[in-house]
Amino acid sequence: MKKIFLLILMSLFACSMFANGNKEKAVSKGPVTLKFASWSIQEKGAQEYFEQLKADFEAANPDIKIEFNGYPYGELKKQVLIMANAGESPDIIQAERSWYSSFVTGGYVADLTKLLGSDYINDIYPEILNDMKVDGSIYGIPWKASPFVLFYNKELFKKAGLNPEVAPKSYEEAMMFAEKLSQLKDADGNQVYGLGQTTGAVPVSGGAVLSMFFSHGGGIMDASGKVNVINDGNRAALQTLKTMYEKRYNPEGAKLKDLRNLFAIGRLGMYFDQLWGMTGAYAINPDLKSSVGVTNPLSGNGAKPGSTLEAHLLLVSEDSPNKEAAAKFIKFATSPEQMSKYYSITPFLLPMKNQVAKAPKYSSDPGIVPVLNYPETIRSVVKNGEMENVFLALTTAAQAVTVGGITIDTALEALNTEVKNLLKN
Amino acid sequence: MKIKKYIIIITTLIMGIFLLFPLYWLLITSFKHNMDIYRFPPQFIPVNFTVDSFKSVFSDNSVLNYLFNNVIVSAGTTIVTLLASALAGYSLSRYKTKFGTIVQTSLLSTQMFPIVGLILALYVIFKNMGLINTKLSLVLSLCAITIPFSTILIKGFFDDIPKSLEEAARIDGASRLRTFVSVIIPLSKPGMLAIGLYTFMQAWDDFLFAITFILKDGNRTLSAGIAMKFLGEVSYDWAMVTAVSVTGVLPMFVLIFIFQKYMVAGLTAGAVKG
Amino acid sequence: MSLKQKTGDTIFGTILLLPSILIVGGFIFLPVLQSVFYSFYNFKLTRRKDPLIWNNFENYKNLIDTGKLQNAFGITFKFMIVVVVVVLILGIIMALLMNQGKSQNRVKRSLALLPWGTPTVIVALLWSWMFQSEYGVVNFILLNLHIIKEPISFLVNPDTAIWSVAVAATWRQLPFMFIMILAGLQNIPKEMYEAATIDGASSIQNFLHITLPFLRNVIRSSVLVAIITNFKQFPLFWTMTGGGPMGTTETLAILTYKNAFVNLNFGVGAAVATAWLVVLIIFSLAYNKIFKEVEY
Repeated sequence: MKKIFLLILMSLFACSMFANGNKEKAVSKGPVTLKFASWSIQEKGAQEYFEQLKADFEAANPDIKIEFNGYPYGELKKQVLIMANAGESPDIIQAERSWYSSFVTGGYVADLTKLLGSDYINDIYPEILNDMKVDGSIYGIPWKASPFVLFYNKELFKKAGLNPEVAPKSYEEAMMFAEKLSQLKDADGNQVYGLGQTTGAVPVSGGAVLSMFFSHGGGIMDASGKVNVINDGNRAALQTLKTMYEKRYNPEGAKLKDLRNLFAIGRLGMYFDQLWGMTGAYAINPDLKSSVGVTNPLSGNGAKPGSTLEAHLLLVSEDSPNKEAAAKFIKFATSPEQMSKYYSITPFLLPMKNQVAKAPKYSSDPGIVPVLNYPETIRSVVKNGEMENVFLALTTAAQAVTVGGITIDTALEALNTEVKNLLKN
Repeated sequence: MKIKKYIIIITTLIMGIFLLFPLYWLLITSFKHNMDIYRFPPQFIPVNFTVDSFKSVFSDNSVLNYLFNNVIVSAGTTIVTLLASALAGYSLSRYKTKFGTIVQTSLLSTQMFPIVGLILALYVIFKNMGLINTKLSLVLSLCAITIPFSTILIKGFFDDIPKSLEEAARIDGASRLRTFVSVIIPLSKPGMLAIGLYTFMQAWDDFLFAITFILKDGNRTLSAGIAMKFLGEVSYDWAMVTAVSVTGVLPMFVLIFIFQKYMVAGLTAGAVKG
Repeated sequence: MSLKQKTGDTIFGTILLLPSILIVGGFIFLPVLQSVFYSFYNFKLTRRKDPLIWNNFENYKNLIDTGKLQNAFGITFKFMIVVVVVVLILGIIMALLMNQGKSQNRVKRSLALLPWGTPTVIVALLWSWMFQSEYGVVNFILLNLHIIKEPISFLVNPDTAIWSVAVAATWRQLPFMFIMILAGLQNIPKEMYEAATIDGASSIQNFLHITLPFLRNVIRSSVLVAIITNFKQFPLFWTMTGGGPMGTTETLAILTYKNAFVNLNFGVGAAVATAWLVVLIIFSLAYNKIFKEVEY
C-alpha cells in the first residue's frame, strides 16, 4: 500500500515538473498582442464587422495588435477555464451573463472599476450596472444587452382577429391572445402555438423561467436576502406555465432555438426571447422582418414586470499582463460609433446612455422603440459561482410541473431544497 | 420454408431502413431550403431542390481544410498506433513477463476514465511541450486512446501464428527484431489492415480533443470545425450543417467501400479469437 | 534455454513495450492519476489556488449524501445495459442475415457499415433533428403508421429521453458489432454444420451448440468495447439532452462535466470519475473471469 502511494506521489511529482515548465513569460517590448476569446467573431454574418473592428482599432492604436480566438458558443467557458488553469488565459473574454458569476467568484477576471474609470462606468444604465456589481466593483462590461422581451407575429395576430398593433401588457391578456392564436392552423394544417416560453435543460432557459417568476412577483430570494422560492408569485408563475402546457400554447420543453424555428415558420404566435434571438428566426425566414412586433416583459398577477439581464459581456483576464490595453479595446468596441455599426448587423439593446444618445437611428427604430425603456425591467440576480446550476434547477422545476406532471407545491419544495443546497444560504 | 424466407426479407428490410433512413434524411435535408426543412409533414423528396448550401460550403476552403486536417490526424494516429501496438502486442504474445501483464492491465484500465476528467491535465502537458495548436497533440492524445485496445487485438493475431516459424528463423541466425519484421509482420497483414481501419474510424470521430487543443481555424478538424462555424448561439443553420455533414461523411463511405473486405478478412484471420 | 538468451528475451520484450508505455502512460495514465489524486482534495478550478487540503472523502460524501452519484450510476447502467444488449442481439441477427447464401455482397455490407463512418457529433445532431417534437420525421412516420396518436416530444419527455439517446447510440454502434460478429461467423468451419445437420440437428440447435460457442471470444471483446463506449458516452447526451429533462439523463459523464466545468468543483468531478473507474475495473475483472469460467 505504502509503495503504491509512493508511486502515485512520484508520478504526481513528474506531473508537476511538466506543469512548471515555463511559467515565466518573456516581457516583450514590441507591440502588445491582445488575445480576444469570443464565439461571435466566427458566426455567419458577423465576420466582416469584426475584421473591420480589428482594423479600425489597430489603426487607432498602432502599438496594440488584436488576435481573435474563436470557439463555439457551447465550448467557450470550458475552454477559457482550461486555458486559464494552464496559465494561458486570453486577455479579453466574451461571456454570457450566466457565466459571469463563475468567472468572478473563480477570480479569473479583473476589477474594471478603476481600469475603465467612473465616467465610463456611470454611463451604464443604473439597473444594469447594479446587476453587474459584485461588492461594489464591476468585473464585466455589458456589450449587447436585452431582457426577455416578448416577440409576436403581426400576421398571425391579424388572422386570429387581434389588433396587430396592440401587444399584450399582462400574462392574463397574453393567455387570451394565445387562446385565439392557437385556433389557427398553418399552411400544412398544423396547430399554431400561442405563447412560447423556453424550459429546455440549458442555463439560459433557467434565466427565462426566473424572469417569469419576477414578472409574477416572485423570485428566489426573500426580502431579507435568504433563499426562499416558496411564495405566491412563483406559484402563480408556475400555474401560468402549467396552463400554457395543458392548453398546448407552449411547445413542450423547448429550447430557445426551437422557439425561434417555430416562430420563423409561422407556427408560434408569441414567445419570449433575447432581442438578438430574432437573428436566428430571420436566418430561416428573411421575409418575417416586416411582421414582427416586440414588447417589454409582461406583468403577471398584477406584479411589476421583470427580467434577468441577458447580455454578452466583455471581461478582462486577471492574468493578462496588458490590462490597460485590454481596457482600451473594450472602450473602443463599446464606443457609440462601433456599437452603431454592430447594431446594424444584429439587433440588441444598448446598455449605455451615451450610446443611445449618439444613435438616432436606434431610438427611432420601430423594432426598438417599444422596448427602449427596457432597463426599468432589469432585476439584479445574486452573484454566486453556483448560479448556473440554480438556472438548471429552475428549468427542472418548470419541466416538473409540465411534462413531469408534478404538483406546483411539490416542485417548489424540491426547488427550494436544491437552491438552498447550491447557494449554501 | 416460405415463412422463413419472408421473415428474413422483412427483418432485412427493417434493419436496412433503420440503418439507412437517417443517412437518407441527412442527404435530402442538405438539398432543401431552410424554410422547407421545418415543414411538417416533412418532404421526403425535396420539392424546391437546391444546391445553395453546398455552394456556400465550398465558397471558401475552410471545410475542405477541416477535412484535410482530419485525414492527416487520423492517418497519423493510425500509423503510430499500428507501430506501437504491433511492438507491444508481439511482446505480450511472445515474451510473457510479469511486467508485461501489469502494463497490459494498467493500459486497459485507463480506458475506463472519462475524457472530460483528463482534458485539463492534458492541456497543461501539451502546453509545456509547446504542442498546443498542433496536429501532433491530437495524434498523441488519440494514440493514447487507441493503442490499448489495438494492442490486445494484435496480440490475438500473434497468438495464432505458430511459434515454430520464428524458432526456425532464429536457428537460421536471424535476430529477434529481424524475425519479427520478416516473419511475423507479413503473416499478420490482414489483421493489421483491420485494426488500422478501426483506429482510423476512432480518430476520425474525435471532437473533444480537437476543440480543446486547437485554437486556430487553420488546424481544426471536421467535427470541431462544424461546431465552430455552424452551431451558432442563436440558431443552428440546418441546411449548412447537413451539407457539411454530407461532405464530411462521404470520404468515410468511400473508405468503407474499399476496405470493408479487409475488415472482415482481417478480423476473421485471428483477432476474433481473442 | 540459456540464461543469456532469457535475459535477452526480457530486455527485447520490455523494449517493445516502451513506445506504448510512453504514449499511453504520458498522455492518459499520468493525467488519470492526477485526477484520482485531486478527487481526495478540495481542488477548485479557481484562479487563486487554495493550498490542497486532504478533505477526508468530502467530495465523495457530498456526492453520495445528495444521492447524485447513485442516481447517475443508475442512469448510466440502465442506458449501458440496454444499449449493449440490443446492439448485441441486433448485431447477431444482422450478421446471420448477411452470412446467408454464397454471395459476398460488398455493396450491401458496405451500406450496413455506413453509420459507423458518421462522426458522433453529427449523429447527435441528426437524431435530435429527427426526434424533434414539432417537425421531426420520426413523429411523422409513427403517426402515419398509427403507432402513436399524438406527437411525442422524445427528448423532452422524462419517460422517453434516455431511450431516444439509446436509439441514436444503437444506430452508431450496431455496424461495428455486426462486422465483428460477421467475422466470427465466417471463421466457423462449414463442416461443423454439415455434420450436425446429418445428425438431425435443427437450425436452433445448430445456433446454440455451434454458432454461439464459436462466437464466444468475439462477443467477449466486442461487448467489452461496447460497455466501455456506452459507459463513457458523453457527446450524445450533451448534445441531445444536456442531462435533462428533470435530470433523467444525468449520466456519470454529464455529472463529471457539470461539476468540473459548470461550477468549477474539479475535485468533485474527479471523484465522480474515480468512483466510476473503480467500478469499471472491478466489473471488467469479473467479466473476464466469468467468460474464462464459461470457456472451460
